[in-house]
Amino acid sequence: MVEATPPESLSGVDPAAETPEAADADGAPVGKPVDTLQHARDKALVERAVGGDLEAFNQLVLIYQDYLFALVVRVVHDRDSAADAVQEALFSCYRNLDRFRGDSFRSWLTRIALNAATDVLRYRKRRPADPYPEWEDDSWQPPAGAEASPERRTMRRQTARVLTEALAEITSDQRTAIVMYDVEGFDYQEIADITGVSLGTVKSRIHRGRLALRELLSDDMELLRE
Amino acid sequence: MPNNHSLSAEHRRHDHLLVARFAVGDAGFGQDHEAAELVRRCNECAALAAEIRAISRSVGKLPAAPRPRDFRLTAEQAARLRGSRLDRWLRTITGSGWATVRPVAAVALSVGMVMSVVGVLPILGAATPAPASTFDQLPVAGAPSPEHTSDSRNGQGGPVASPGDAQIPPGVEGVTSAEPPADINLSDAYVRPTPAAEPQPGESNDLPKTLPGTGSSLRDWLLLSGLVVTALALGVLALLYAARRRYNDPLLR
Repeated sequence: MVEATPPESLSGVDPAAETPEAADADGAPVGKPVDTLQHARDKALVERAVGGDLEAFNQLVLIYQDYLFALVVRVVHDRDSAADAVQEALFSCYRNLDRFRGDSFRSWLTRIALNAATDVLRYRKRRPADPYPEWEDDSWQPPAGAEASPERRTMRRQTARVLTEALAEITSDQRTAIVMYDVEGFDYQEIADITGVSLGTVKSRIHRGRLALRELLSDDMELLRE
Repeated sequence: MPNNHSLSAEHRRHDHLLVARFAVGDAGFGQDHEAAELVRRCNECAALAAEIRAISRSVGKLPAAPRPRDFRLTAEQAARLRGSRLDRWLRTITGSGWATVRPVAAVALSVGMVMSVVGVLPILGAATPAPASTFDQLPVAGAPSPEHTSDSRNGQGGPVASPGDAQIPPGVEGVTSAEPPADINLSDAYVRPTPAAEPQPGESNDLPKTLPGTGSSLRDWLLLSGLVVTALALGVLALLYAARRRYNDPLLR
């Protein structure tokens, strides 16, 4: 049970310094499931937010908004739709904060965001006028490192583009599972819990999705072998 | 060494999914050896495994798209989302913490309806001529027995008694049939096994239906309690339904 008053070490942290991405300096998958301390920090913030502390909720937003947007935009392939989905997810989260049960706030928030992303995909399926406008937008291509040569930069951009396009071609279930596993670092069981399917289904989606990606990328495999 | 064409034909028969799982160390105990053998003997399976690994690695390196705006909530947004105290309460009762309330209310509704029906049935029975029960025909203390007021004395049109209806010998007064005096020989009681009580011509039909202070008050209590329980359960179910319609959040599915 979460204490009513969080310990100073938890309530006084700088959220930006403890984002899942920031805690990933050792090369582990980005956003690897948080440890007990982060669970406790999140619970303490949730407790304060449920009590009406908007600042506490906004600290949670600061911690997770980058991660959420990165995940959702991979699923829906459209920045505007992804932003709307993330905003809706955070609204829903705030409205229903007192319903949060369990250990991992991040998993709970991820499930809400993925539901919002799924709604976007359903809406788009009904109105497929412009399925992937994101492809026309170069503004979110990978940032180049200071050491990168122009050729290497171009190659990275091209790799990201073909990979993103291929990801958009596979089924949304496979894409979601692959992004959660390979990009966000969830393990199979966490993905199963979040998406509400069995462990075997998660594994099947990931492996079949990779096989489908391989088919789609057959002409561009040289880019991936760098 | 087989040529490329025959190799491809053979490769098509291989379990590509198994190779894909093996490539990332997920083939599982027991199939590991089979997958390793495939990769070792089939060049295309080996290439497939290498490409699957490259894809997995490349997807993991995909850069995160920068978010276009700050998603923090303003005070106005927060106030609008929180709603009034009533909104918050109604939202709460749609949550999983209240999941047991609905089945409990459904059971209460059923119980209340049964109680109401049980309470109402005897009233309906009194409104229509129905066979009188033994209990209903028990004579009340001090009241003259119909048998004694009928023509039984001259042996014509004798009284009709229900099964089990005992006649109290003349001269015994001030006792109820439920409490026979000790000096009465029950073997003298005459029981006429007539199946139904048919009022005979000239016979009085206004027998008391219940013993005073027992049956009717119990029925009234059942009826009243049943109606109250039914109404409460219906109210709770209606409230839950309305709250669910209005406040259930589809993103929490």
